[in-house]
Amino acid sequence: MAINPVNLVRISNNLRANSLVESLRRNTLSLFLEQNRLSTGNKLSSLSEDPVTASRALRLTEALEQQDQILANIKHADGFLSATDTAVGEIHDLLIQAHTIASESANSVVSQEQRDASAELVLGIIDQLVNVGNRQLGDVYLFGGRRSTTVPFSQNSGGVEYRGDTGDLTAHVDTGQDAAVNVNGAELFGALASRVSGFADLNPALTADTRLADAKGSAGLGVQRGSIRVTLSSPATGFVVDLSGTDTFGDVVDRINGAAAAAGLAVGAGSPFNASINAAGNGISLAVAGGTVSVAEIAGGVTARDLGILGTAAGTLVGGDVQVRLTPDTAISALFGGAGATLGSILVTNGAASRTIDLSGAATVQDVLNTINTAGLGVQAGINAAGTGIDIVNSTSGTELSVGEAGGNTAGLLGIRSTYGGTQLAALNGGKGVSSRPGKDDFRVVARDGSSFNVSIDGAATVQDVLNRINAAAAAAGVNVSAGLATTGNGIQLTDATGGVAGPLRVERLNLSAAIDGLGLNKTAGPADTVLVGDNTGALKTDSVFTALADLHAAMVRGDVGAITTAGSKISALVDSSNRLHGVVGARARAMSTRLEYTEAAVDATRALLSDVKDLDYTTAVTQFQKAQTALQANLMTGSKLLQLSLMDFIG
Amino acid sequence: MGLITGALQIGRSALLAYQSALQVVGNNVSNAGSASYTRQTPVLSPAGGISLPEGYTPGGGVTLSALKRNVDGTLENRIRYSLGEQNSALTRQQALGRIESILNELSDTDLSSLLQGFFNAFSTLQNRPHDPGTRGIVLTAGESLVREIKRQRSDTLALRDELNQDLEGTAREAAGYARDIAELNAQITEAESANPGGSSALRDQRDDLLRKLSELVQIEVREQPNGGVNVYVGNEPLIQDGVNRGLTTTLDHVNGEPRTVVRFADNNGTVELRSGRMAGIVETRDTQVMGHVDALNGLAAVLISEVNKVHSQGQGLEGFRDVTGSYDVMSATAALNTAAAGLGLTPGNGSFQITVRNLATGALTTATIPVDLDGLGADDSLSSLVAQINARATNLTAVATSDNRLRLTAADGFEIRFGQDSSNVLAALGVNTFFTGIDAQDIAVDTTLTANAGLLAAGRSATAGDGSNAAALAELATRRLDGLRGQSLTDYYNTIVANVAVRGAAAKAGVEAADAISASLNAQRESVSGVSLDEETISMLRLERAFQGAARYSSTVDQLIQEMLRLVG
Repeated sequence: MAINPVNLVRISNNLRANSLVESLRRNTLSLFLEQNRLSTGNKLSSLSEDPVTASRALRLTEALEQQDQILANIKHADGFLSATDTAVGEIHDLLIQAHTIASESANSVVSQEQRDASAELVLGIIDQLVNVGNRQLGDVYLFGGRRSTTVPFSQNSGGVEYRGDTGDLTAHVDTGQDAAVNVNGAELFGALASRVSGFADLNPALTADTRLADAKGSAGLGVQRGSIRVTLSSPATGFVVDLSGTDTFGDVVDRINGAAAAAGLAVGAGSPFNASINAAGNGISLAVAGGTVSVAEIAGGVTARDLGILGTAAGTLVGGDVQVRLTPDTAISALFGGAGATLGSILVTNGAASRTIDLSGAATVQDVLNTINTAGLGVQAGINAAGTGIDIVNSTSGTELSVGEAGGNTAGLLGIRSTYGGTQLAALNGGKGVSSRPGKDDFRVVARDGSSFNVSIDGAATVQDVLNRINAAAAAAGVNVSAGLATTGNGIQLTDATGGVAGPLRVERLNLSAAIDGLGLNKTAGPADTVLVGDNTGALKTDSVFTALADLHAAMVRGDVGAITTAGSKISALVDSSNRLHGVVGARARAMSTRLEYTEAAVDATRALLSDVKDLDYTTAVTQFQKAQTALQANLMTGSKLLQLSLMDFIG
Repeated sequence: MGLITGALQIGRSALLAYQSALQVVGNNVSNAGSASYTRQTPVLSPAGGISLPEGYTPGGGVTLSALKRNVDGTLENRIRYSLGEQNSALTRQQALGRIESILNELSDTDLSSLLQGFFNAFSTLQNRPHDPGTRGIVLTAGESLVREIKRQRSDTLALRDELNQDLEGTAREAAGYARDIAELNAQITEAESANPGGSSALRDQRDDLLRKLSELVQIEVREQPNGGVNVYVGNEPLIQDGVNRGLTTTLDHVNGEPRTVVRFADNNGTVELRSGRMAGIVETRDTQVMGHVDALNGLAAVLISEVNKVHSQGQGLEGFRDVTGSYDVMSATAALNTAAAGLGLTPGNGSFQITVRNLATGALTTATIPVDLDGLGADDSLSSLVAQINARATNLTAVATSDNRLRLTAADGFEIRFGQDSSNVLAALGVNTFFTGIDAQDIAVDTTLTANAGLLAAGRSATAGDGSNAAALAELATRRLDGLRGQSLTDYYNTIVANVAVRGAAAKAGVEAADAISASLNAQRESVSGVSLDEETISMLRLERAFQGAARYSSTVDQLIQEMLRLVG
């Protein structure tokens, strides 16, 4: 409504007209706004009409857009998990089928013809398993891990090779929450179960270039970058070092020295103050010319602890080991605390394929890994999770992997020898172990000069224990024969230094012990050889579904009832684990479906709220429109009447 | 004087006076529709001078002694002030309405939706990192976002240019009014020196012009004894003692932005604009319009740097064979975090990794490149960075180009990938980045990506199903950023929009308040100065009757004379 002062004393014609024009303008404007609302269906035609509501609408729209995306992600995850669930169910059924075949065939009354026929069925099951393993959802392989566009399983002569990885495919299913939507082939079939786990801690040296991110910290909790306080007793001074923004240990040392210099201390080796990498090459040390130096945390920080320099020392405060992690670009020369390693060749055998891999040109760990990985042996070398050594994984199911020496000690040095001193005897022979005769000698070693000694391996747990027993027995008998690990390939090697020529160096069975078979020592050296190299019994076989089925197939073709039973019980265990996996995947799929439902409900709720804020209530709007219309009509009517009134009409 | 002539004289005075008064009424009636007209009231007073033979002096009839202009001087001042306020509020509201329509919020294609859509596309990419189609969607979403930011900027700048032109036109209009007022001053002074109060029409014209001028700029008017007015703008005189200083404009460039400035024509001094249309234009242009451009620039700058910081940590389906950074440094030997290097995003102390992949074997070789910017000893410059890369990485060549960019070229059969950049130097130099440019003017999706979507860094490894970097990019939508004082990008933009809305609402309220005041003052003015036809009709009747009376009196006197003449004759 037009606002006019009411204390006017006289009304001019212009005023009357202006007032009418003004009130008509307002009436028409509100009518127009109502009409605009009705035609757009929006409560607000512009933001400034009601900034508070507009701001709420904006935020709700934003929330809705986010939720819609999350909903789409959940639908994607749900689809993927459902497909995975179905596939895992099929695998479970196939394994049950295989188990039934094994049970039926593990019976001596079954004829070999029937076994041969069933063996064909087993091959068919392997094919079907590979097919399911290679199933795609759209253009993505369900079980390839993050190598989602590479066919994950391929059958080759030696077995089934897994070409995927163990990575997760993820989807953003809630604010701040990513969920894995897949099961990788390694989980599914145990495809990568066999590995040569690096046994050597390669212990990379700390250098100025070592990144803080690559150190596990003195407490094994990483390195937090905060401030520390360094205090000197002579001269009595102290300073604070801000280590935020440092990236490498070189930066840390520079910062500490920089802060010392800023505090007026002469800095450098032999000067009153010097921070440096410690002599052991695994931490930091702070040296002072006299008195003590101490380092303390500031305000509850943990930086000094993580850097291993918390404390007080006279003269030199030698920091603890900050546990530098092995990284791809760790130099070979930096291994073993900076002592480095001289690399030669290793011998890698995977199934029928065997290669001597020359690592002498490797400058970094990455070079070693690349050389092994690109040798075409179906193996993958990588840095282990702890960041201490190298693992070699056999990605082919059904083949045996062994990594040994090629006339040197490189494999042992790098900790990637499949049989080494620490290898458990129980792990040899595909997990069957080595049997011995309790309380009795297991074998006799006869040297070239005819002298001999008896060895009992009863109670030995590791390969090194066996070597020790042999060497001890040889020493006790005064026979100049020594045992060690083979310098070519794997296995145990006996060296005859007796100089005799009476007969060949040989190992003989005693007391019907099977120990020499288990150790690969059931051998006689050549007449001229002074060295007897045992067979490799420590080759690793992937304990996967495919291995078990291949074993079953082989046993059935051979008609080996015992082996069929063994394979059958392995498959039975796999049925159980696949059942478990099916349960887990099923639960994940159901959880995702539930999430889908409640997210849909949440989206609907937001939509309703937004509609409440933004959309027009037509009943109110129509009423408002009619009100505005009536007001305009009334105004027009009174206005036209009022303007017509004039004294002129009544005179003359 | 004889008795008879005296009596006739009285009649004559009445006839003349009422005739004149009727004319005044007629003038009022004829101006009843004229907005700027000031109602005049004839003042009739008894004339003296004629004595009766008995010695009494009843008076000499009636005379139109004055013409009263019904005007309230203080009210005029208040009206002029309110007109200024009203116009500045209106201008502000109009410009904010324009900005609001530039924002185009509450629609499906507004910037906030595009921003959210951009990050949502990354979330979809996390689901399907291997898929070229999804990569295309991300790039398209990026381009739509960029286009919208640029459109808003150019539309806002067009609005600024319009306001500049508007200000120029308005200043010209104001100069014209000032000139006319000065001329009227001269005419009124001249007319009133001969005949005080005899220039009501001229004064009406001048009042009208003063009102028009005060719509454009707040003025202070002081009337002088000679009838002229002095007009002040701000603290300076515009018209004083008959001298008009004149108004003009110049097109200045402030920080490279064209700005029209209003100046006095005589000495080019700037005019202090307090309210009125011109003040509204200047205020809106400098705070609202340029404020919105600044806000867009801020948004674009943070968007570019934050997205690039994350994107440069990732790897695409394929690596780079040959990549040149999109940002150059001003000096290849200046430390990268100094002003002498002049990078938009300042890198910090840290390191990054370059992984060179052998295309034939898939073998990866990673080199860690330290970026020493800790302020201790020599800090890294572009050229020392190039030297570091060449010393540490194999099968690639790094060079600083002639225009001071970083260029990395893989050897034949190799490709380059990046990762773990704790220094942000890759984002700062524009290597492996999503956006190029530094603000809303030149923001663009990196053409390297549009040419080859496989380079879009969805993962942090060389595997097709790795969507981890896409996840980190999608998460940027809601991540609180230091560069935005703890707000997320979407929050920041929502704040921009909310500010425009609140200012728009405030301007609207301001206009309504100013309208109300102005309407009230005008009503008061009309109440004093406006013509009421009914009143005038009554005056007319009254004067007609009086005239009739005077005529009757004159004819009576005439009869007396005739009687007397008959006696003589």
